[in-house]
Amino acid sequence: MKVFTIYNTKGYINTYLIGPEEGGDAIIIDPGQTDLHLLDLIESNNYYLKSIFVTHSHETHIKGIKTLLKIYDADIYSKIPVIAETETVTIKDNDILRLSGYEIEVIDIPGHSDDSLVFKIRNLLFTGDVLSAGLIGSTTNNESKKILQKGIIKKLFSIKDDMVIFPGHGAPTTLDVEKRMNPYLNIS
Amino acid sequence: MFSSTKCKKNGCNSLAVTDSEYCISHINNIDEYTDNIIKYINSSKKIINLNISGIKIKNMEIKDKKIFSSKFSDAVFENVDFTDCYIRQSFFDMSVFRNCRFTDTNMKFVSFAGSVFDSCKIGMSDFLHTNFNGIKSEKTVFSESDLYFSSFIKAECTETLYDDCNLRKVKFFFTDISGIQFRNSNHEDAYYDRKDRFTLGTL
Repeated sequence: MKVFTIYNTKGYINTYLIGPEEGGDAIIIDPGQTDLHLLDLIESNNYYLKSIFVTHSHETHIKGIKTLLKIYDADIYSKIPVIAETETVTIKDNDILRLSGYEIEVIDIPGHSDDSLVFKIRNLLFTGDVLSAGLIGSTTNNESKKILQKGIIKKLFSIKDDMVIFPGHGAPTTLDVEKRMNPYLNIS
Repeated sequence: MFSSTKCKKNGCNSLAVTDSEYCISHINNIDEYTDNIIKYINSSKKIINLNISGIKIKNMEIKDKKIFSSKFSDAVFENVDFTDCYIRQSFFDMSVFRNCRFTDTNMKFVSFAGSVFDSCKIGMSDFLHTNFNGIKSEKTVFSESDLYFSSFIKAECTETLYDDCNLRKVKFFFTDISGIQFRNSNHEDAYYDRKDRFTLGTL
């Protein structure tokens, strides 16, 4: 499995392209913008985009969807039924999808937004704005912050395996590191 | 990406290292394994999907290599030279670096979180979107580097130089910066503690 991180200067978000080593069906997580670099990665790896996963519907994370749908016949997977004026395949907590040869587990962790989801593929967690290196997602009030912290600790920190975290913003991290030293999730 | 196969040892949650069914703690002949890995690294210009977490490497030149999607977590590097390396989407977290060099390197989406840097030269490099959270650095030089969008959250830096660095969007939250020197760097473009106001949405 190949994973590509694409940094979008608009909104400073990370888009992830996931596909097999030798070409085939691919998945995109949070297409914040569609530019030549992203399209070149898809085409040069002989990928065909089949699925678009949305960690949450904030504009900077979905802005590239419309352009992608002009090129590829892809389904959008989200917690909400319409994204970018397009009907989605709605998904919910604990759903396990088998797509393009991958098993994708859906973890619902609200707080940053009502529709925030984390996607677990093998030992990789795509956390969107739920959790990133040393930070948690922004919240509009203390109650939402508590819901977010509780969700991360209950649903992510309970995973015992050696997991890598690919967040919606910034550098990658690992679950072990965030358990030990994320100052916003001090559980000790 | 590196393989997600778990170590075969009952109850172990670590990933098996490359070319083994076990993690480094449960591998049979660690010296032989390390020798083989060193030979592989020496003979390869491009290193992809390698997981050698927990390895100990001393007195080695890993110069001018391209490293992609690899894992070197919980490792110990002593007197290792990474000069001119091009590293993408790789993990060196919770590792120890003593007398190592990272000059003229180009890194993006790399994690060194929780690592210890002792007497290392890390300067004149690009460390874009690099995770230095929780590092402990002593007598270490980051000078003349582009650290765009990297983070040093909860880092402890003693006698550490950041002269002439690009610090745009670099995060220093909960960071002990008392031992840091920022001469000729755009430190006004970095983010510092403002209690809980700093969260993803504002970055």
